Amino acid sequence: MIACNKIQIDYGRNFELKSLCFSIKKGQMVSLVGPNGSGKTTVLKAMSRLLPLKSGYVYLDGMDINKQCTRKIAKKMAVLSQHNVIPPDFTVEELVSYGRVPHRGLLEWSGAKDKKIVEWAMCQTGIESFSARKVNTLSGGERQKVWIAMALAQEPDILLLDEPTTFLDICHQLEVMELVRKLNLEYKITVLMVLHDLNQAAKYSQRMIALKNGRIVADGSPDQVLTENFLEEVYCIHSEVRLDMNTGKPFFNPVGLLKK
Amino acid sequence: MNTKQIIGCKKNDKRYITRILTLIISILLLILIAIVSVGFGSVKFELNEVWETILGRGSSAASAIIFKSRIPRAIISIVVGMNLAIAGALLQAVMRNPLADPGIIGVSSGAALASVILLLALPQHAGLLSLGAFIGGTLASFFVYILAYKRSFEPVRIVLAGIAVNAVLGAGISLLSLLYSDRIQSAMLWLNGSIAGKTWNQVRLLIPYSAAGLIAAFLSVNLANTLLLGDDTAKSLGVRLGTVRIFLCIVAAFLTGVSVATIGIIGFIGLIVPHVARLLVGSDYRFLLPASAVMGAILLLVADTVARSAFSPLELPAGIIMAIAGGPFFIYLMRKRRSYQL
Repeated sequence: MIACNKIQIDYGRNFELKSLCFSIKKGQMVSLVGPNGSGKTTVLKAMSRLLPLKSGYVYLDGMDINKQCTRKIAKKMAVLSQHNVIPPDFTVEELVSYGRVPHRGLLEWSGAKDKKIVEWAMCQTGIESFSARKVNTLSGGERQKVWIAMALAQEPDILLLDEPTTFLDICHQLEVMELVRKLNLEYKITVLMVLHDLNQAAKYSQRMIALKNGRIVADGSPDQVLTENFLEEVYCIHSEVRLDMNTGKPFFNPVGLLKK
Repeated sequence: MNTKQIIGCKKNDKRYITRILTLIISILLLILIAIVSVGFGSVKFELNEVWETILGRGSSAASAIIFKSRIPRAIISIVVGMNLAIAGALLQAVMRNPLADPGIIGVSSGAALASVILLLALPQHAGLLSLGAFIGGTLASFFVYILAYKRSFEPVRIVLAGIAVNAVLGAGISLLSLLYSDRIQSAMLWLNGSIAGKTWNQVRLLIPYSAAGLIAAFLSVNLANTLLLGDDTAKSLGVRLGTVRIFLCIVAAFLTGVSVATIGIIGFIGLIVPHVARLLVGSDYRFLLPASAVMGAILLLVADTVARSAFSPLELPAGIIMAIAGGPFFIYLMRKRRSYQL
């Protein structure tokens, strides 16, 4: 579905990604994890063509994304950034309808089909009840759902999310994660997300890719990646990792800092 | 073009209707003001005289004044007002900065320097004023883009480059005004934007270029809207950000250049009118752009009418009147609507 081949990026401040390679299969739900400054967001931005590559390639369905028409890519790939500018007085429905931009010509106005898809996207994300409200009057959790609805209106095959749950309370975090999982299961949308919360990543994804200092340090299913050793080496903490009886996924409990 | 469908949803109908009503009312207001303004000037006409003359039943003296001087003047005010307001609205989208106006990309000061050179240093070539001003404006804004370009166009760099270029060009203007202080009178009127003494010749020059620029502007409302969503979102929606920014800047520079070449420097419209329009119809460019156009036209028309009748027979530059009246009005709007934000 999407693959990185030896991508390198210079991002100033002595930080760089060193020759990263990985690929994600269609229908997978994958999280990118790692400590602050490990390059998670940078990788995601490079894969979504928001950052130029120094070298290497990103392939979407076997085609180099930096050589394809950017609008064509927008029909296959939707990206939700961490910080979103909120236009001052757009309503929820207006904002979601911008997801249709890549599907229509520059001079075309939206038609009946666009409207149907916008309504469908709002229904799927559970925001149709406040579709006429202005986006900047909504709470953080509601806004995040509006942005996901906008991404959904693009009818993507793959969804890239940059820390979708940061700044949300635990209830909204779970709502957003359940929503993303539903999109993955019901509509077979491939998901690649940057997550800070390792327990959430383990619970919701089939595969975790861990980065540190711009390199991949672990890659595999949650029970392969989320181990006490891993937490010691990558995050420098002592912890206890157990299996959740309900989900069969690992979760950890931080015990303390590693003494250096 | 089914606008109704884009807004969709019955819950939004109220907002849609207010926006459309605001537009219709301002268009009617513009027509009314245009007709009334034709009667004002050193020779005053009553409304019914104006009406009779327009219908071709007036006295020959009245129709000479109204058709030869007042109507072309009104047309120029309307078109230039539209051009500048739309240029400002587009630049505010491109720069995502509420303080962006056509002055910021160097068009105005480039045109000003070129015309000051023509009027003061080379008065024998003063006939080339319009052409010179247009070329000067285009060169200056081109220069601003070149300076701002570094792998991509960042709005902040365009603003900074604009400030630098404006400073240098402004110094040039001041220098020339000092060196040729005996001839400064001829340049003063132009530098403050005056529509006095304009005829059908200028109208014929102005209309086709403005029409092209305005059509380009109205075709790009969807692009301008996507810029409001921020760089990352716009890019991931498949918008070619750099290309769109350059295109909108060129449209804005063209509209400003054409206007400045016709009547000289008029500041303020491009900065203030989009804000007023935004307060009334919101920030969606499908409504903001037409509203800016109509309100820009109204503002310049009123300013020119006051400029030629307030101290009749003395004519003031319209730019001065506009700044005096528009500034306080803008502050009034800003304070009345506290929720206002760009």
